[in-house]
Order: sequence, then structure tokens, then C-alpha cells
Amino acid sequence: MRRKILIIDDEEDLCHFVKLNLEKTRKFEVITSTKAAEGIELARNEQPDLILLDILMPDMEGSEVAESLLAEPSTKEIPVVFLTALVSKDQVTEKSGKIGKRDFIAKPVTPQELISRIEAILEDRAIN
Amino acid sequence: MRFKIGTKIGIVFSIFFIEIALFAGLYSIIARQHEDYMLELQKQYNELELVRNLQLTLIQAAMPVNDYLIVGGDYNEKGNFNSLSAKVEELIGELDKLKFGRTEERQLLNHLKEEYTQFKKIALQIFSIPEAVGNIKVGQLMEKMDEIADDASKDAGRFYQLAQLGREELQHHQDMTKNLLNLVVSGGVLLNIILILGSLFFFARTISRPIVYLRNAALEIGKGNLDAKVDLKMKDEIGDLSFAFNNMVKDLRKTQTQLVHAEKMSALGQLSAGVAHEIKNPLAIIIQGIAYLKSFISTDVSLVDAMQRVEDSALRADKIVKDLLNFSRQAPLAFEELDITSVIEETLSLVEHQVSLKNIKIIRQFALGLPKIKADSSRLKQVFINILNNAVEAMPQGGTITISLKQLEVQPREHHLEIIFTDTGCGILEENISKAFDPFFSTKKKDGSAGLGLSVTRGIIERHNGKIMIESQIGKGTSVIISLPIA
Repeated sequence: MRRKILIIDDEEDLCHFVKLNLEKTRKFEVITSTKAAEGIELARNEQPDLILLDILMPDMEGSEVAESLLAEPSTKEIPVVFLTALVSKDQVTEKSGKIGKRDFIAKPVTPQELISRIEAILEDRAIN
Repeated sequence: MRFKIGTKIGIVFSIFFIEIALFAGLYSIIARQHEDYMLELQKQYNELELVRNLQLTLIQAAMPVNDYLIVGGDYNEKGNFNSLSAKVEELIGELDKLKFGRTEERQLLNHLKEEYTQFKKIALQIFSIPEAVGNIKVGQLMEKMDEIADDASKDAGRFYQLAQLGREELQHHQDMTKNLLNLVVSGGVLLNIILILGSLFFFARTISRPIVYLRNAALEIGKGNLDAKVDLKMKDEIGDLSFAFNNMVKDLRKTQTQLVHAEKMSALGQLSAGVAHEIKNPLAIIIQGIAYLKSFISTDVSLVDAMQRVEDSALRADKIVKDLLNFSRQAPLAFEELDITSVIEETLSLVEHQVSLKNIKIIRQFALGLPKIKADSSRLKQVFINILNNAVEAMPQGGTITISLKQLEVQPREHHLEIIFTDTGCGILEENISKAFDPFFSTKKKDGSAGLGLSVTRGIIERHNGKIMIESQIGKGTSVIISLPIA
């Protein structure tokens, strides 16, 4: 069964290529959104297995998106991984501080690395 | 000779004091002499007066006798004679009390005494003859008396001349002492003026001028010219002051450089953190895009090669951004007590194989039983790898890298270990040595180096309270000298 991944990132081209690379493995089905509000809506409606979330977006910060997702019973169980160009742990912690410790993947990331990280998180989730 | 300012002032004042004391002493000696001469002169005038009076009174004393011969006792001539005679005796008595400059004066006075005694005797004889007028004996006596009076008059004249001579001599002496006094006063004044001018010149030269010099240098520094230097090789407090001043300027220069460096770093940190985020997104797109494209063109070797080159470049750009961030971000160091020898050995085990492939030999010169240091081992390894990489790049034809490790013995760095990496490579141009630690300075730009390696290296060493410097000779090689404090 293909796992459903939701990417919320304002960089449309990045969404595009990550979608292509993930789907090419035939392990994933990817839906994307370049707008935070739309992304939350998609999460609610599509119930993805994992959400890749950018931290710095023009309309809303990633942490706010994550908070909204947590606040809603239908989405609060979905694992959220920050995909960010922020470079230090401190910055990530600062931006995501309100929602506790989260996984994060630093941009730029190669497809192989991204896939292995996603698989590891999903496996982890399955065990717990 | 080393004299303090206080001593110099003391010496100058002592010279003044001695000079004034000498002149005052000289003046008082001469002035006393002068006064003595004045007193002598007064006495001499007194003597002259007495002699003159004696001369006159002697002449007057003969008159009553003559009158007696003419008028014969009608007008109390004897009484007149007696009173004049008393006066003569009084004058002689007074003269007798005086001290004379010449023995001849005393002799003359004695003569005069004798002559007057005879004169008086004859006069009294004459007065004792009742009928003197026309008396032959009286005539004879009179003749004799005139003779004596004549002698006495001559003697008194001579006496007067001698007294006059004495007066002239004293006058001459007194004039001389007076001139001498004038000379002493004007000489003293002149010498004082010379001394005052001399000491003014001396103080201007040794105190005032250097202070003005220092003030000007301080003003220059106030204007921001930190190259100002005072070159006063004096051995007093001013010399100390100029030495301290130069040291202060040196420290100021160093602090300013450090400050500029710190400001640069801080600005760079802010800038690179901002820029990194903007660059990393497009890099992520390129890397994801290339990965996708590569999966379709596995058959065409030249296209795969092209894709690989694009991917490598993107990854290299990412590395540069990471370096930049590492450089500008001062992550805290994890200090622990370390054996530096094992840190170096661990580093060498990482690189030695690669190094040997490039025909480079590593020579170890490690002192034994070195004390431990407090350091962050991964950061130190980063430093050593950086330096070893630079050394390898400087020796494309191979060569040797000598690593020496020892404890410093020279104060004030005796509590430091020194690590020297010496290669036999191409060396660094002298003008580049000072720039080698500047961020973004690199002589191998085409390799994609951001020019941060040595900057990072120095940053790490300085955060360990250590020092790093480079010595190099073109064509002979380069030494990187690191000193680190002992734990």
C-alpha cells in the first residue's frame, strides 16, 4: 500500500520535484500545497500518513500550522516533519518551540536521504 | 646617567643656592673690608683735623709771647698763652692716643712733644721776666723760641703731609673695595641671569618639550591616527611615560583590530544566516530536480556526467553555505581534559592513508609525558585536518610534513604546549601571510573554497585561549605554529 504524504511548502518547484522523486519509488502517493491554510484543509480531508511542513512560509509559520493540526482531533495523530532551510537547531527549536520537539529534515536534502528519513519515522510510528 | 625629574630640579636649585651663597659670602667679606676702610678713613680725617689744629694752635701759642714782648703784660698775655698751651697739650695728648700707619708719624709726634716742651719752657721763662721790653736776654730767648717754633711748624707740616698721604692711601683702598663690591653684585646678577636662562633651556629640553611631544602624539591618537608613536629615549619618568604611552597605543591598536574583526564576524554571521535560508531553498530544488532527471538518463553517459557535475556543484554550494554558517555561528565548545598526542594521532589516522597516496611522508616529533590540555577534541581535529589539508595542497609533488609537539619553556608562555606543522611545500607570499587568517581570503578560489578554513581554525584556537601564527618562505615551505594552554 502506498503511503500518503502531504507536502506544505511555499516553494512550488520543490514540492513538484519532491513529489516526483517520492512517487517514482512507487511507495508513496504525494499531495502538495504551497499555502498553509490550504495545506491544513488538505490534511483534514485527505488524512495523509505524514506531513512534510516548511517552517518559514509567507502566509503562516510552520509552527502555527502544526498547532492547528494538533488542535483538531482528526489531524492531531498525523506525524509532522519539518522540512526547513533554517540551518541551526536553535532556530528550529525557536520556531517550533510551542509545539514541542519535532523531527526535522534540513534542506537541501537528496531524495534517498529524504526517503529513508520518512520511512524511519513511519516505522517508528507504527511500532509505537 | 639616570636622573629623575625631581633630582634634576634639585640639582638646578642646588646650583642656584650654591651660587647665591658664594656671592653673598664674597659680598659680605668685601663689604666688611670696605667698612673697615671707611672707619680707618674717618680716623685718618680725625688725625688730619688734629694735626691741622695743632699746627694752627702752635702758631697762635707764639702770639701772646710776642705780644708780651711788645706791650709787656697789660693784656693778660700769660693767661692767653696758658689756655693755648693747654689746648696744644690736649691736641698732642689726643694724637698720642692714635695709632699711626707710619712709624715716622710717631717719631714726628715725639719730636713735636719735645719741641713744645722746650717752647713752653722758654715761653714761661720769658713770662717770668717782668720787664721784658727791650731786655737783651728776652731777645735771646725769643730768638731760640722762634727757632723751636719754626722746627715745630716744619714737623707739624710734615706730619700733616704724612697724614694726608695715609688718607689718600685709604681712600684708594676704599675706592677699590667699592669697585669690587659693584663687580660682585653685577657679576652675581649676570651669572644668575645666565643660570636662569640655562635652567629654563634645560627644563624646556628635558621636561617641557617631551611633554608637548607626548601631548601632540596623544592628540593624533585622539584623531584616530593609531600609528602615532613617541620616540623619546630619555631615562627619566618622561622616558617611562613614553614607553608606557607606546605600549598603550600598541594595545589600543590590537584592541581596535580585534574589535573590527569581531564586528566583521558579527555582521557576517547575521548576513550569512539570512542568505543561507534564501540559497538553501533553490539548492534543494536543484538537488531534487537533478536526482529526478538522473533516473531517466542512465543510458547516455555524457548526460549522466553532465547531471553529476550539476549535482556536485549544487552540493558544493551547499557545503560553502554550511561552512559559512559554521564559521559565523559560534556553537559552544565541549571542553574536556585531553591528551593532545592522542588527538593528533586520531586525526592522522583519518588522513594518513590519503596523504601517503600523494607521496607525502609524515614525521612525528612528539615530546613524551606532556601535561593534558582542556579542549574540544572534535574542534581541534577540525583544526588539524584543516592545516594538514593546506599542507597537502601546497605539495602537489609530494614532500614531508613534520609535526612537532612540546611544552614551551619561555615565560610568559611556559604553561603552554606548542604544536608546529611544517611542510616542504611552495610557501606563502609574504604579503599573503597576514591575510591568510582573514575570512574569504583564498589563493585556491577555483577549487570552490570559500576561504574560511584558516579563519575557522584561528577562531577555534582563540576560543581555546591559544595562539596561532604562520611562518613561511617561498619555495621552502610553511610552518603553522599553535600554542595552547595547559589544563
